[in-house]
Amino acid sequence: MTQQMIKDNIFVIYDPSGELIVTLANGDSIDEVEAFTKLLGDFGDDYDFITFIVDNQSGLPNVGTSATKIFNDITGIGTWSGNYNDRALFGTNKILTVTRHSLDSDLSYGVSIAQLLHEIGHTWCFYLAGGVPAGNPLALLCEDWPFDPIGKYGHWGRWPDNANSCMDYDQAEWIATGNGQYNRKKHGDYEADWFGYHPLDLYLMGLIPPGEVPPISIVQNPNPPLDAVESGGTSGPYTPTPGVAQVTITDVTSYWGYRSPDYTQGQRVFHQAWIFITKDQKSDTFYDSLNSWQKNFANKFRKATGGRALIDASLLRVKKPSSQIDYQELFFRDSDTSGDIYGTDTGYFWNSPDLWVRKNDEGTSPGLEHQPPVKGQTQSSWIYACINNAGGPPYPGVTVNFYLANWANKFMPGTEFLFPVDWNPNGLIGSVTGITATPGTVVPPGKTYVRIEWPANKIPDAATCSHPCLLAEIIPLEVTPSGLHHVFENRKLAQRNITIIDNTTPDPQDPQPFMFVYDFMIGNAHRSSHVTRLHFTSVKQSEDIHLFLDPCGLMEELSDAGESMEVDLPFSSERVLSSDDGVIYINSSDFLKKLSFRNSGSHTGDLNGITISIPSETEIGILSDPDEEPGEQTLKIRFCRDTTLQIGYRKSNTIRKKYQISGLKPVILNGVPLLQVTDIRSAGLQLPLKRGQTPKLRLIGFVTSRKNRGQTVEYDITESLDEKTILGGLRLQVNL
Amino acid sequence: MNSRLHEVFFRAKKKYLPYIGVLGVGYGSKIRKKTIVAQQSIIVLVERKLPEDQVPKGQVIPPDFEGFPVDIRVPRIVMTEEEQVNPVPGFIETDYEWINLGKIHLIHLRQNSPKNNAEGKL
Repeated sequence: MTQQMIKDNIFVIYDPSGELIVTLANGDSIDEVEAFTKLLGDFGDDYDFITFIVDNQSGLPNVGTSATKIFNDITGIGTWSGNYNDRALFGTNKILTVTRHSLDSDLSYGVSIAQLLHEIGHTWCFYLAGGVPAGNPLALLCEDWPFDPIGKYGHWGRWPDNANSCMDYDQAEWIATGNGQYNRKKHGDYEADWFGYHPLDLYLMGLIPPGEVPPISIVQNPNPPLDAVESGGTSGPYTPTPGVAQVTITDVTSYWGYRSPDYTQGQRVFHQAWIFITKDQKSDTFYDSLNSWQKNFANKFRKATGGRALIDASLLRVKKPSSQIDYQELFFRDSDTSGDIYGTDTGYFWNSPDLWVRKNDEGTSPGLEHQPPVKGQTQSSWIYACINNAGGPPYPGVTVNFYLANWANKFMPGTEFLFPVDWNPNGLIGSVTGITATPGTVVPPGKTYVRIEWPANKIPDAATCSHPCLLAEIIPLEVTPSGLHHVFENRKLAQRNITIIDNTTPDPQDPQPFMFVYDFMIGNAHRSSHVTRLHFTSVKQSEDIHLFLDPCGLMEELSDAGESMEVDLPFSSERVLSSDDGVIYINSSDFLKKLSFRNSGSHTGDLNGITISIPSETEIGILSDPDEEPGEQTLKIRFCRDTTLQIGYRKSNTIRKKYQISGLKPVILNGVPLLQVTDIRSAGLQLPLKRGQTPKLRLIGFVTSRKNRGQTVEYDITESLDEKTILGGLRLQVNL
Repeated sequence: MNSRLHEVFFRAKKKYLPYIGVLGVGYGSKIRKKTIVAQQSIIVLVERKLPEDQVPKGQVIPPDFEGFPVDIRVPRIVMTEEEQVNPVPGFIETDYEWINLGKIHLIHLRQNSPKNNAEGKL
């Protein structure tokens, strides 16, 4: 009689009498359908991958290491393109691939990280060479192949320089020596950290665009020939004959067509269930090792895909007669106006109250006010997260991962972040594992506070004006959505995207006017070309702050449309400031004078004609007769100040119409074309972005008055596709 | 890819998978003496190869199907531990790519059926 057990995130079937063994004429196998049915007795149909670990050491058959595809609807990936559906076999609506591994004595082979990556990789790879006609360069991708011919058209061959791809058998790399020759280095399953996926693998997996796949060098007919059985270490040099061939992504797409769905639409989040089948009673130590191995694999998959995809290998607890806990009852709130029921947010989702920073370690009862790092701090800060549990029972084995966003752009603040790519392993600050999310004692949800230390040397550029965005995730993850998506689409994600500008004036009794520059990015590398709308709002505002938006070249016509203003400020086209410059103290009187003059009229743009500069004290005489000589009695007009006159026709509102500008006025400030925020209640514009374009913009602020010091002003910058579809945003807080 | 092969494969699967002793239907290379003799063929995995007179009536699998050669072979489903370490030339890996796990399940159910056991029908 079999028994089922749950050992953390491993589903164990104890089968002492071998009931799951199927006896065939050519050997024994395991009834995997039966085993999966047992999993469904305790869990839901929530898994894309089912991985069987068969304990052949206990007397069960050694089924080797392999993958069986259950479902496919992807095209453009080779011979496995097109619709295929065997899900009815398992009674599932979810499974993509079943993999199996026979347990080695120390988990180092068969269940090695390389083999785990390899078998999951068969969901998409490597089927490009099968059936191609003679002479097609794609045929070179599987040459040469000294192994079982069964596997030839499902793997890379030995000739291609496929870097560290795990989707081959030879586990070797070619190293160019620079003179047309190559050395060859053999690796092995024990090198878990070396293996990954080649860019062509990643393209087939639907994770990168075709343009990011480099040409693949084929070291064809190497001389001397490769040994049928290659020994370890490095050998060479080898000379390709007649020379190095190349296979390009164009060769792939011209024969198979483009991968569909493409990298913007494909699945990114996968769930996997590990089913361990054994005849033996295993120790807790063994299951700890197996769970640790599983975590290593999940982390490795995420890294090997560059964070573009992930596998959640946790068992998703769902309500069954045997248990009332449900992974969907764990959540982060999205905004500071959120109630305690997920989905009731009315505020902006980049300001989660469940993700924040404290200056000190406050244990499990932290203060809730966000205290971001300050410039030049040498001590650690602490990042807190609050897991809400809307369910009744405690939920065990929860993990929270904390990230800095936008690691590829030096952690610059950005508006739109997409999961999982922006919750990237390269930006991982730390994790808390083994959490039990407690339920509410009186009313749900229960709140469990977790924290990690944020060492000062991991706080990037803790400058006053360049604050990175914090991201967090709860594992177990949601099953949907599974493609690229935003934080507000997934209750397991949180974002804290706030920058604080601090006026640390030298003399608090005599606060000086100051200016600041705030750099931020818009768009996302995974978004197709679109028109994006930026909207500025103020949660708390002040008349003492004057804001200017620098579109940084996105509006070519701006330099012709703005009114010129020269002011005595440390800011010009020659001296372009950035967030790294922090707060700069200024003499604001000249600026205010000219700003108020600019704001006093009802004009909305330059005239298309000539501009006359008239210095102060210039007098113009008005004569009644052209022959009259000017004299003491002549009526005069005196210009008491330096003045600029424009004579001409008002320029068309082309720029306003083109960019749908509202609440903003084009100006040229010290030679720099900017948009002055004239009405924060309605300030906005739209900008066309190309596919994958993520431009940097700049907000320049001038705090001109010494009144109202001690106050805090907050601005939200929202990026949206239209009135309803908000893609992201960030908050800027200015402490006067 | 010969997209026609893909369509033919579905028809072959529908026809041959229900046959007694058939463990799976797929497509790929036809292999003879460890050599690929045809890149595009219909693969029929059988539990054992039988003389024609021992095949159930109406279930003889022909050498070709709708213009594609048929490769009837017995899949490898188990390995020794030594075979599992580092593939070598001629090394035969397991053949689970086209094994139909539902068929394996049915065979398992029949094996565990007391009636079949009593009558010796496995």
